[in-house]
Amino acid sequence: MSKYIGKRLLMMIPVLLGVMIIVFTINFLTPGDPARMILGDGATPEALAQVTEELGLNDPYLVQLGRYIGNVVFKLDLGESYMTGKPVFEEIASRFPTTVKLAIFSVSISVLVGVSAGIISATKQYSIFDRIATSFSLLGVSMPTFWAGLMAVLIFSVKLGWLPASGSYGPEYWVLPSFTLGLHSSATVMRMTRSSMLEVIRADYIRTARAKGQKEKWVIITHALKNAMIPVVTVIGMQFGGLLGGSLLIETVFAIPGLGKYIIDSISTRDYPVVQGGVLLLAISFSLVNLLVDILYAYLDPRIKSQYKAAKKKKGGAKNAESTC
Amino acid sequence: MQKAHAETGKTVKTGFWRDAWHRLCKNKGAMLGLFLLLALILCALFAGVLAPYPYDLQDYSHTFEGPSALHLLGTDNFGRDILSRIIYGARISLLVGFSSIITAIIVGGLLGAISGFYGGRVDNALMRAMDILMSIPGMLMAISLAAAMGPGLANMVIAIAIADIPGYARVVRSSVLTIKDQEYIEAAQCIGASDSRIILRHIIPNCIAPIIVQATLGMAGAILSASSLSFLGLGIQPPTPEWGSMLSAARQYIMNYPHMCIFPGVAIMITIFALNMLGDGLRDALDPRLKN
Repeated sequence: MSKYIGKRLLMMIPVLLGVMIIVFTINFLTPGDPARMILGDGATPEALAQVTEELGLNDPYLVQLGRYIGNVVFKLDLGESYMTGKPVFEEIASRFPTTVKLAIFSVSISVLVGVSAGIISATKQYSIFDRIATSFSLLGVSMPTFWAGLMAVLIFSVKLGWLPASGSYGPEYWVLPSFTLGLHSSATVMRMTRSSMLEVIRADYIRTARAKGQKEKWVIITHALKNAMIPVVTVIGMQFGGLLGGSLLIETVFAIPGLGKYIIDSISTRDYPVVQGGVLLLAISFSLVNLLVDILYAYLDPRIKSQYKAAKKKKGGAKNAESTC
Repeated sequence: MQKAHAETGKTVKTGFWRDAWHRLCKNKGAMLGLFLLLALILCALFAGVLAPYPYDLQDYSHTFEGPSALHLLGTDNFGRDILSRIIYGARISLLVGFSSIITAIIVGGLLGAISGFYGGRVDNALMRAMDILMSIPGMLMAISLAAAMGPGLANMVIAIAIADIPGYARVVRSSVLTIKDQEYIEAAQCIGASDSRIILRHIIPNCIAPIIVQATLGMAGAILSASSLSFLGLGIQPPTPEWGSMLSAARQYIMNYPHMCIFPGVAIMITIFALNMLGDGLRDALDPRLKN
C-alpha cells in the first residue's frame, strides 16, 4: 500500500511541473506590459525600462520559466501583486482557507445528499422517490451554478428574508453558498451513485448474500455500497474540480472574500501575478484531491492492494530462488 | 444489411446507425431533448423573424417592465425586450457550443488518434500532456485563458475548446486502441495504405459513436462555460445578447426586478437540459450495454 502511495506521489511531480509550465505560459503570452501596470500610465520610458530589467522580463522565455519554477518550488515565491505590492503568496494564503471551507461544506452536502438519494433511488427503482430524485437531479445538472445562486438569493434572502444574501460574517452566511454549490454537484453524485448501485445490486454475490438470509439493510451497506462507491469516488474527486471552478462564480455571486473572488477581481484589475498564483494553487489543490481519491481507491478496491502484494510476493519469491541457487 | 421480419416475413433494412436511431426514438427523454434542441436551433436561425423586437432597441419609457402582453418576458434597464434578447442569445450560445466543440473534436480527436495508433513514446508523451491539461479544472482553465486573451467571441471559443481537448483525445485514443488491431486495419496496411489514410479514412469514422455522445454532453458543458465566462465579464460583451452577460447585468436589479434574472437562466437551463437528455439517450442508443 505504501508503495502504491509512493508511486502516486512520484507521479504527481511531473504533473505539478506541467501545471506550473501551463500557468506560466498563459501569463507569458498575455498581452500588456507588467512594468506599465506597476508604474501606471504616467511612467517615463527610463523608469519602465528599469522595472522591466529588474523583473527580468527581457530574459528569454526558458530563463523566465526556470526562474519562476525555482522561485515557486524553493522559495514559495509567487511574485508581488501589482495592486498592493505585497507578496502574492501572502495575499493568497490569507484568502485560501475561506475557499477551502466553502469547498468542504459543499462537498459534504454533495456527498450526503447525492449518495443517500442515489442509494434510495437505486434500491427503490421506479418508486415515486426515485422519479422525483431523478427529475431533480436532471434539473440540478442543467442549472448553471451562478444562476442557482441568484435564485437562492431571490427566494431565501429577497422574498423570504431568512438568510443573508452576501458576505461571510457568521455561520448563517455560509448556508446559501454551500447549499447552492453542494446541491448542484449532488445531482451528478446522485446520478452516478444510482447507476453504480443498480449495476452492483444485480450482481450474483448480492443475490448470494440475500439467499443466505442476510438482512436487506446489511446487504446494501456491507456488500453493495463499498463496490458501488468506486466510480462514485471518482465522480466526487472530479466534482471537487468543478467546485473549485464553481467557487469563483459562487464567491462572486455571494461576495465571499475567498480566493475565487480574489482571482476574478484581479482579472478585472489585470493583476496577473495574483491570477497566476491563484490558478496554480487551485490546480495543485485539485491534483492533491485526485491523489487522495486514488489512495481511497486502494482502500475501496482490494484488487489494487492485492496487485501490489502479488508483485511483492513475486519479487520475494524470485529473491529466494536466487539465494537458493 | 437486411434481415427477415419474424411476423410479416418482409425484409427489414438494419444497420448500426438505423438500429441506434430506432433505440433513440423509443427513448422519450431523448426525443424531448432532440425536440427542444431543434426548437432552439430554429430560434437561433430565424431569430430575426421570431423576435418581436430588435435585440438592441432601447425604449426608455418602458424600462424594468414585468411580463405583459406587449413584452412577454418584460424589459430590462434600457427598456429592451427580454424575450427578443433571449431569442437572439440562442444564436450566440449555440454558436459558441458548436464551434468550441468542433474545434476540440478536431484537435483532441487527431491527438487521440495519433496517440492510440502509434502507441509507445508518442502515446506516452501526448497522454501525459493531456493528464497535465486535465489536472487544471476545466472552468478554471477556461477562465485563465479567457482572462489572458481578453473578452470576445473567438477568444471564448478558443478558451473553452482548449479546456475540452483532453476529454476528446482520451475518448478517441481508447476507441483507436480497440479498433487498430481489427483485421480491416491490417488489410489496409497490407495493401499499402498510408498511416494518415488509415487514421482519417478507417479509424476516425469508426470512433464516431463515442465522439457523438461526448460532443452532445460536451456541448452542454461548453454552453454552461460560455455563460459563466460572460457572467464574469470575460466572454461576450454588451450590447450583444448572451444569456450569461444578461444575467450579469441583471444581478444588480435582483431585489426589485427579479424577472430580469429569471428568464435568461431558464433559457440556459432548458438548453443544457435538452443536450443532457439527448446525450444520455444517444449514449444508451449507441451503446445499449451501458443502459441501466
